[in-house]
Amino acid sequence: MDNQTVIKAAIQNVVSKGIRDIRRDPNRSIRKLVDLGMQFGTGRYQQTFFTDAHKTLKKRNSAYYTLVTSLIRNVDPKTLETLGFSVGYMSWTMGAKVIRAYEKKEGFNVPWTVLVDLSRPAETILDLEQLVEQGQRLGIYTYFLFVGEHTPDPDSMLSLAERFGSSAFFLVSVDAAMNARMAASDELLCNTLIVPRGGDPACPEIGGVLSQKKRMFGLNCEYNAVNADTLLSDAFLQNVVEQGYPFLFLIPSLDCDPATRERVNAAVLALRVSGRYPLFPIDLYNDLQQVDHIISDEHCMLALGADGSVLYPKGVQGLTFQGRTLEELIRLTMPRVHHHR
Amino acid sequence: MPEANITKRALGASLKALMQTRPFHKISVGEICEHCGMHRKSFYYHFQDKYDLLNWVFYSEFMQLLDTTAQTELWGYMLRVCEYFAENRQFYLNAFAIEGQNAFTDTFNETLEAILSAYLHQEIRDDAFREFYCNFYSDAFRCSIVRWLRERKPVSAEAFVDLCHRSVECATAQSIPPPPGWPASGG
Repeated sequence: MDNQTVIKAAIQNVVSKGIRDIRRDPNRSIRKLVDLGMQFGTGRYQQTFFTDAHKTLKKRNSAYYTLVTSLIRNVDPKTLETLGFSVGYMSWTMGAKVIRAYEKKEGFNVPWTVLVDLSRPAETILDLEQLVEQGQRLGIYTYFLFVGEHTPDPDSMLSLAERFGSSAFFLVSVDAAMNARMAASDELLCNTLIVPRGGDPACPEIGGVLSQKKRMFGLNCEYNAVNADTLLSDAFLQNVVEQGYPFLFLIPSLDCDPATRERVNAAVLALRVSGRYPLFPIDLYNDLQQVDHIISDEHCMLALGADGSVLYPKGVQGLTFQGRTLEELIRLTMPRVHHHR
Repeated sequence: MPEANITKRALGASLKALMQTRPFHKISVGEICEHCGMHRKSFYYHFQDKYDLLNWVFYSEFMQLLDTTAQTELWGYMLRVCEYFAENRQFYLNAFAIEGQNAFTDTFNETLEAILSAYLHQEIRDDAFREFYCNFYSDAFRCSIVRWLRERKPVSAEAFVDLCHRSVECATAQSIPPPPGWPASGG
């Protein structure tokens, strides 16, 4: 019996009990689970996450009590446990440890997650199974897959998630066609979080359907200088809450200027601290980089196109995952600037 | 350590101290608070009742035995658990003696079953009776632990866990065909 099995069984038992307790006695049990997380979450990012959560929950009227209670009442319990374990333990504790050991030994940064844009057509599609298999060896246990109507064989994302059960997969839709497909799917995979694209008139209905199917889901919206204020307005946030979306992923559009990105990031952080809405806003790229920064001491985000070409970091045109291992690709794109403390 | 955890730990330490000399049912929330100089309001901010506090002490200390930085195989973990029980002997003898709806036995069994189920899942993959084995071994472990804690001159935790390990290994090594009419495997 290996190391992870005992740890996994023990942690899942505590989390599952915590979830049951929250149903019976919400506020106290939410605080208890967060405090336990602070005590045992040894990963560097976990400490930051739980400390922030603890601060927010100190406000007795924080809307996060409503958010967590609603997640626990409305989401399939196995999905909650599995996703929580994949991100909280596999990525932020166990994976982070592997990443830091790699970085120290090899002298290059390893991102904690990989983003793959599968929404645009490509002649040859990268081998996702290879990517995740090699990623897990490097300590990467969370993947963001951007999918749309041009994504070849979207069902393969589900078999990918099924094959790599200890990793978490965020399936981020970029169009209405994929939104509809996500809502229609009856396949439940406990390690996936479904994120339809906002702006689609069907979003309220999709929120209802996903909620009825007990999925873990959020809404994603692309922002730029023109619509940022609308997306951060009380009216919009309230609307997202009313449509039943517990997470809001804000994604800068390609033409978004740095000042808008900074402004949105500051607003998202302030929203999270205030706990005004039962909604967890995420400024996707900034937040992912923030986690990378805490785990690795340096920013090291990696985004690939459908054909395996490197989209981010910028300035490494021509590099691709095709014909290379992920380790080779990361070594070429992310040399460490500083050594580990 | 966050303030909330300091408060919880103080209340937990108070309960542990009181349970050294008195059975659980004779200890009140008021006494727990008085013993550590806390207000009852603080107690109820964190815990529903004294059973909730007892379970929190168990979970938080039990989880601390999990060393996520090192190899944690089942028997190494069981050894740490038994060493921990031996260090907190009176507290756990009292805890195991609680009967009724909030019995600590149920909390412990649930935890043990989760771990043993994962273990048996690996050791005996296809067996229709795995769930029964899991319950059986959980009960056996719990009863053996209580018996061991009660002994006047108990063997060391190491020797005790070694005996438990042998008992399970002996049993899982035997392949006994199922009785007629029962599913053979994969159930």
